Amino acid sequence: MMSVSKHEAEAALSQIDSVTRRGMALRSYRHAGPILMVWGLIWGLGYLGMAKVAPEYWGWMWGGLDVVGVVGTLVLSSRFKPVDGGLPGQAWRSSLGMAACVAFILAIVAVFPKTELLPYIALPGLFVGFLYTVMGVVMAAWRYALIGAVVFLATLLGYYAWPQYLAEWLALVGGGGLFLSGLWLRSA
Amino acid sequence: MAGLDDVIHQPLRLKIMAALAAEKGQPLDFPRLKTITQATDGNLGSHLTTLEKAGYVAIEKDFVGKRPRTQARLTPEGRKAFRAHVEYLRGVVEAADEL
Repeated sequence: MMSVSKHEAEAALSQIDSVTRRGMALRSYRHAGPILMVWGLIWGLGYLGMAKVAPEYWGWMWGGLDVVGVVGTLVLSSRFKPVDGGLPGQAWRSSLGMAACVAFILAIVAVFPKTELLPYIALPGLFVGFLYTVMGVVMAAWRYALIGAVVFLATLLGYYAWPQYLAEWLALVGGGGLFLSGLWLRSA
Repeated sequence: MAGLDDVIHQPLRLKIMAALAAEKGQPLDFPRLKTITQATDGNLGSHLTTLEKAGYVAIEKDFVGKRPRTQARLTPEGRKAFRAHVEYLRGVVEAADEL
């Protein structure tokens, strides 16, 4: 019978680890894809609303859309069974995570002075872009990092290049971009 | 300590077994297995056949709409053999560390 050296055994174990991580990343993409598509639609509708509706209605509009998004996340997450040592309650954790993000943005809007509208329009784009970039880097899931970087940079571009159309820009690039990103993730 | 499994130890077959073991009994289709293992079509097909002949992997072919689909899953025997192989590899590393 053949035997292997310590070096060969370590290399084989590291290969197993790397394949397992790659598989987990692809599975997470497939699960996250439809959720991202839902948030892309919500994002698109919310920003279109900001372009068309008076600012005093924005809070109600986003509140309603966010509830739909959190419920959608819960429904979509519950379709996937945890495998490979995944923790139970994934659906609830995903929905609570989304709810925490929404609460964070709403709290920032509530606490900071409202002297200008434009920074508040850019805030969700910057926050979501930052969140996905960090998540992608930490999890070594590069598709998330790429999506995050694109959303972040597109938000900055719109803010500085055509501020008068920022809401429409974010509806198109942010909402449409997230929806297409969801399709891309789902195909992984 | 379990012995080295020559069938599993080949690099691509080891990747295939690791990818399927991580699915905990759920099948993986051919394109996804190819992405995870970073193998070419021909290589993946031939090594899957070797694993199937050894009884470690079950290959299932069906249709999704009009498109043919090939899926692979680990058999109970394959899962056991993979666990034993990983144990063996860990044992080699631990034994060398103790020296």
